[in-house]
Amino acid sequence: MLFSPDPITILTLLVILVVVALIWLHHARALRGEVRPQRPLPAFETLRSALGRGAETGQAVHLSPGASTLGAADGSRATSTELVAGLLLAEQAANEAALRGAPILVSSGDIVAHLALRGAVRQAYQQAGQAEDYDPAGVQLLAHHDELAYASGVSTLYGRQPLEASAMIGGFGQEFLLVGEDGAQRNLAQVAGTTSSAGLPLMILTTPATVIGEEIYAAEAYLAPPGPAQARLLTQDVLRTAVIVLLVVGFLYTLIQPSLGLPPLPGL
Amino acid sequence: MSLLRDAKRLIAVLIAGVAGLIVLLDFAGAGGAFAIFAAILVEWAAVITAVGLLFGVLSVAATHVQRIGARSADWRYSLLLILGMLVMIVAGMFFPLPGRAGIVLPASLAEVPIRTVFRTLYEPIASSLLALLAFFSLSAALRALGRGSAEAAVIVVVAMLVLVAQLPPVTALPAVGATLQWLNDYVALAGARGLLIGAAIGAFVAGLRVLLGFDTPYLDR
Repeated sequence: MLFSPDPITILTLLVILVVVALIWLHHARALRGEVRPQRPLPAFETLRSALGRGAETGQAVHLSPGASTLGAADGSRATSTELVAGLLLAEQAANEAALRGAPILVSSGDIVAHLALRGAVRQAYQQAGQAEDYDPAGVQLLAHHDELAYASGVSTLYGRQPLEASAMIGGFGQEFLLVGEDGAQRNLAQVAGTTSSAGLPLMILTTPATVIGEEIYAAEAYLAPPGPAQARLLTQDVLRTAVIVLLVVGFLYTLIQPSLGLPPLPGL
Repeated sequence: MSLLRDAKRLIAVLIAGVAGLIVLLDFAGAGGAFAIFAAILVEWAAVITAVGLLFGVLSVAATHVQRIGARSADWRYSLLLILGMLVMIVAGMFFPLPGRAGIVLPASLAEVPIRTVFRTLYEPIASSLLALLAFFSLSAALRALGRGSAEAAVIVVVAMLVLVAQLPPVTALPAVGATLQWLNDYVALAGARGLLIGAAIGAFVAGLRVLLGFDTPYLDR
């Protein structure tokens, strides 16, 4: 049989269809320029100004999605969507760098991420009309599925050449401390972000410009000019509002349910 | 350029979108033929990753051989890397061991002699790096407090409280254990769930936008 769904599957598919419709709607709105002003996130301003300074000083800006990996069929830490966020940021930052003439250095800790980064950065230079400025040596694979080895590699990069800034947005855990503290001791401007609860406190300790949780998925939109990149923010805002409403309604229902003799919510 | 006018991009987006949709439907529990196709696609992905890894190894080796040849800065580290790579390849592929059915080659990374090399070389180095985290976190905490960051101060204070609360004499005090458990079960868990829900929404939207071809970070033109 091609399709043998249960009610939960049908509900999941309906939710996916609604979100797909929202994504399309918001993309069309963003193309028409109907985007709301964004709340300020100083971390991305730090990265933008570092790219500007890099064009003047000639010092590279380091970009990294961390040791994010694609898929986790072997049970390892799944950071595929964090990697996508890191890739989109690297692409957008490379675009800005190409337009401004600022050098960049991109590193990764997963072979598939490395190949995707090479493509994304080269594509960004091509889109900016600066294909001849693309340097494949500027996209480096430092490790593969080994967070500690990757962190050691980034520390080596910090020591090997003076950098203007380092933007590390993606899948980072406790290994971030090895890199973040090293960068802080070198007075390097760092922008860090992840969704991992193990990595976030260490980022806040070492890096004033920290991007927290879902904000990493907004990174590209904050660097890009107004347009399609902002559509993702619109969809996320709608979904976040829906989840908050659901939580509040669920909470109120749970409060009044015993006194009114209503059926309990599933799973409670 | 419009997606419809760019055939190369359109084909790549269609392949990525259809493959992703099949795996997504299988994950949602669609079952039937979707489960079979999804299993095949995941196997293909593993093969592609393995081939990618091979190219990655060749690329890393070529870069470091060039560095050694040109006597670039830190070329000795490059030599060490090439030697390490060769040791692991030889240990993993060409180091036969006596087995029940005669001489056999190691079947996985978890077997001798690869495991021996890992235990004697890699694990001590990794453990040392992990041990360094204690000193790094102290240094980071002092710097953060000096910076006057309110968020960092909260993290340091909570970390200190948790450390003190773990001490046996403190744990033995009345109500301390129950209070800590309540904080862990309600305050900390609520914050962690908030972070998780927000990140899941972001990941969900980012994933669907990739499937629909609005974002194409995989595309190499």
